[in-house]
Amino acid sequence: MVDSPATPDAAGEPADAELLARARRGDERAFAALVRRHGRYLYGVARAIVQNDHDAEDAVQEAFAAAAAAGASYRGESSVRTWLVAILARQAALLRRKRARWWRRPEPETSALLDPGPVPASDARLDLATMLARLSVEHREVIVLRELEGMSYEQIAAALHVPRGTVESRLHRAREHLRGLFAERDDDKTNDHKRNER
Amino acid sequence: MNCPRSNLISTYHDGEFSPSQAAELRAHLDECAECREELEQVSQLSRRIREATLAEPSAEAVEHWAGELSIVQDRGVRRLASWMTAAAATIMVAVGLFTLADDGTSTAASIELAPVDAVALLPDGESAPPTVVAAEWMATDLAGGLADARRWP
Repeated sequence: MVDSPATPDAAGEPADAELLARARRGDERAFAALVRRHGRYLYGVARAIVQNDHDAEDAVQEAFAAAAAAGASYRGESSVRTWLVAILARQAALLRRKRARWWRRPEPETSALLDPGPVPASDARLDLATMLARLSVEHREVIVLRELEGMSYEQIAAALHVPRGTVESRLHRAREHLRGLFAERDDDKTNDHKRNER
Repeated sequence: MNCPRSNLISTYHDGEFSPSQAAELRAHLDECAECREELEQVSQLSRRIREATLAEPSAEAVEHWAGELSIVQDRGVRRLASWMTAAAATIMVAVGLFTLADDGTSTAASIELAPVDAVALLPDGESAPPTVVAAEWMATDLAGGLADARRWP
């Protein structure tokens, strides 16, 4: 998993909130430091939600732009990273609507969940984007924001502009769907293993 | 799933229930094997997701984003300028229309005809105030745009 660096304060580097405040005042070096600290993680989150490289890059770019413009709205109620992820989710949704006006991009048809290819080692870690490919984008959003970023239902509801109850029901259904896909995948692996033993 | 409370496990797992609701469900879990299994499954799924690897961007992409602040700010200034221009134009049109309406010679319902009415109703030899002239010019411009738009097949 791509992690942001350890607590910046411990390394004697400016904290995220300070970098954000400086970036808002036009400090290009502070903005660049914030991007280098969180850009890789944000891209991983975006890629898991939007499912293609180009849109993921655009969403991250728009999220940092929006964050620099809206830095004053950060009130320290969550970490800067969580605040950035919330902006990213919103930007990804806006981008999706914008794209939908012009053309319909087909969702990926195949997934390693259903088509695992050569049987991987039993403890092999899956790529998150591949893991979530068979879910709807609404389910991918809530899974990523909750499971990866640990956002509360209220925070997710605010980020996606949906009621809290919608977050709750989407999460429940997304987990059921994902568990079903994992069960299928695990069955396939077991059958492959049995065939190889014969 | 047979237990009607099994659909509450996802929310319980996320710690999103009130303390009293959570205590009630904890007591239920002591008695319900099905819900305990459900909770274990949800926890296992969470672990799998958190342990998954994330896609990484290219180094070029990260450096591109890192150098974007000045572009972002320029874009912000341009956007602000366009909003302010639009707001100023709207206010001036509104002021012009209300000025005319106060004369009792025009109404808000005749917006598209306002520039024509205004010119016709000014007393002989008297020129319109500058705000009215500007509002007429913009309203005419907008009306022209609407007329042009309507000409499209």
